[in-house]
Amino acid sequence: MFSFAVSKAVGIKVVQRSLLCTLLVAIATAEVRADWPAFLGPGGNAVSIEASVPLEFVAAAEGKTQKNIAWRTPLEGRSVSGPIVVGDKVITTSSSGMEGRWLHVAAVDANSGKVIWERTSKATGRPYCHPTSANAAPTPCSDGQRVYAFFSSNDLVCYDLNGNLQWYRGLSYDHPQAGNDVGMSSSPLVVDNTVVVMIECQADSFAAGIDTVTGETKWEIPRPHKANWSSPRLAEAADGSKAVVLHGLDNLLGIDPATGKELWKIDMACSSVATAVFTKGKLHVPASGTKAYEFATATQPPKLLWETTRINPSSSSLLVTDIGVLGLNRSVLICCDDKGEMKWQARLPDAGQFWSTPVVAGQHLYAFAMNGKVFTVQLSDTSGEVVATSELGEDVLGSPAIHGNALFVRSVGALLKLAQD
Amino acid sequence: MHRLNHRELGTAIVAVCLLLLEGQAIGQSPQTKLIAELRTAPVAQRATLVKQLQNDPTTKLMDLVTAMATVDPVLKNFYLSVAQTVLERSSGSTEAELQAIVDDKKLDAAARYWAFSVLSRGDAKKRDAMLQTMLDDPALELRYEAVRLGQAEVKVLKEGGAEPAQLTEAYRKLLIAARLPEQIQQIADSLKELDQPVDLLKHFGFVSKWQLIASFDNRDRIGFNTEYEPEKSYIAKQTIDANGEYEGKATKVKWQSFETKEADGGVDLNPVFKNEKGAVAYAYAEFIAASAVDCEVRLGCTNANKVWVNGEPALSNEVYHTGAQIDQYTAPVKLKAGKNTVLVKVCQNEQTEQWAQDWKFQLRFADASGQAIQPAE
Repeated sequence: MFSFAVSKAVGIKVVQRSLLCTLLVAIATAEVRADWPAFLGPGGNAVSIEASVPLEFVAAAEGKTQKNIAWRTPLEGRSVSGPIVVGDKVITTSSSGMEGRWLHVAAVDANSGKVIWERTSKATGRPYCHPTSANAAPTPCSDGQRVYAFFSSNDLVCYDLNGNLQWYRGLSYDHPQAGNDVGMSSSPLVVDNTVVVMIECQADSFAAGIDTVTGETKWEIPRPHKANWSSPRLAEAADGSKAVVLHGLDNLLGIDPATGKELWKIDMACSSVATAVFTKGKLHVPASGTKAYEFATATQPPKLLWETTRINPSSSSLLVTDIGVLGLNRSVLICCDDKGEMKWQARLPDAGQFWSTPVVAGQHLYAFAMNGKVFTVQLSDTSGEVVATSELGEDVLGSPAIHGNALFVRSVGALLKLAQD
Repeated sequence: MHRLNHRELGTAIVAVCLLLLEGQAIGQSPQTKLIAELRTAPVAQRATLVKQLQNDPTTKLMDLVTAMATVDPVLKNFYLSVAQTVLERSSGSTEAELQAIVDDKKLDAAARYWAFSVLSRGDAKKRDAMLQTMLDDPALELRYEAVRLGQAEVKVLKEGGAEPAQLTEAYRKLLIAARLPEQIQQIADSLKELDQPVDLLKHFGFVSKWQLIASFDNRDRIGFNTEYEPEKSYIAKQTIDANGEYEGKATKVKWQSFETKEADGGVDLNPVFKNEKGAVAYAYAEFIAASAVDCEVRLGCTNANKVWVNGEPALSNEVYHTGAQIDQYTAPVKLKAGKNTVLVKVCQNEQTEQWAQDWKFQLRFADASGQAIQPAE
């Protein structure tokens, strides 16, 4: 009896230890599968410290064996938007046909790469854009229930996650002079039950809040008559108050997402392409350099903490990590500390042009050049070292998404999953 | 349990009969009624109606497609999207129904193009076969695809060593069919390579002979909404005083004749008015139409612009240097038989960047498909 009791106790301890070990191993290798629901990901800072993504990728080509590319799914038309991930669905947009007038939204299974549904509509506004771009330039967004896809032609379409149309708005229909023929690219932002869109141009320039359920316009505010391709950002203060930040060439503006009412305004010339990043109570704004603000509450103007001209991103938005603030000045990656002092810089050789914003997965930054080159940069306090350069063999202009231990990349003609073989 | 009295029973019977009669009189099934309701529903109610339509197993593809012909482009997308849901849940083959939609040229052009895309997706052979008969299709997007295929086929012929005469004939056929300026220019380039240049100025029907006057003040963009004398005079009389002399930005200015020989019909104002910045120019032309016609005035212009036809405002775009292309801006206009007049206001701003120096435009009249309205001989 005693011996049985002892052996039982030992047995329980062994089982407990074994379970603990299994649990620890499971925790160590688990993929964190958070949604990537919008441009620049959850929280609007394209960083996922938990993700573990391979360093190098090889596209299938003559004489080359494909490596770390789980699947590649060709899709209709052309796209320069980024994908988003909701649950196990990767949502992506594209445009096709004469003048890019046909708009596509596709949901692709994140595991298999199989198209789950695809919906087509026809642009109701001006589809014209520079040949580099596409009508499908803005990255869609989701609140986990619905998908909101926006296009350069100011068509805003809402589907549920099964591809059932919820509503459709042709915002150019009410604003025929809104937009420009270089192409628009501002990505929508969903906050609570409002989709915020920025349509800033020389003629009929405005921002609007659209009801997520009905598609009705809840509010509209006029914006400066200047072309602006940046995207609205959500800043959420520690006290729970929220402001949507619009940055334009005349000012940085905080508005109430529910009403569009101005909360505060700072006169300054912000970047018209690269977008601000809000994280951990701080707002980093590209504006002829970078300005960092403390964001205490939504109703008060943020307080300037520091500014630097060292990080002056042209197209890519900023990233904020524990190592520092990262920005891509053309093909040079700059890292500044939390006071704006430069820590290091790293040149990305023969990169050509960047349109997308890099992402950080774990301790590595992945920068996708337009020509399909991928630079993997190991980040540390003292340096950014290019540890791998890969060639996807196809143009990439949209910003990638991170989901689990994979990168989802939208090339102009396909969707790719980059993950360990 | 409440029992109906005679009066209540009578009222109920009448109500049911009225409902039945209404349904019969209108001849609508519940889902066709929904399709009709969606047509007039305010934005707030559209989401509910579209949900009902999507969930209704009796919703028919052809009813949705038929409805597309008579609604605005936004509503078309509601019907189109429901059509995709209906198609997806169909258990049997839908090929015949889709083919019927493609074949019926009276149906909405967008619906036909969509049906064509669904039928031919992933099947290049089928796609090419369908396009063989679509060079003159009234749906411009189908015609565009047919021309594109034609261009690819002629390229193969060329690479296979076909005779220049055969290639020329094939390209000429495509030139007649093409409506999109980009395709027309590509085909003209191909013909030029075969020593068969195309008079694009004539093909597109660009207005080539103009009277020009400049410069009026547009510093700080004040000119766009300022009615200078030539504009006032034109709106009042629908013509200009060719000998008129006006107070310009710096000196007195007069109308001068100008004729473009450019293939793209471009009227380049910079050499005429010495690259003036912060300036407004006016261009006036007369267009003799063979007969009265409803058509479109089509403008390409990288500067802020306004256009009047026969004294009536047609276009107004206060946009500077965001790209220009043929047929960039269009508006419906009525041309009368005989003389018509057109006034173009072209505003140059003060941007100094190298890419913001153009001060030019091109203009033509065309039907809704893009085919030029040629002036009477």
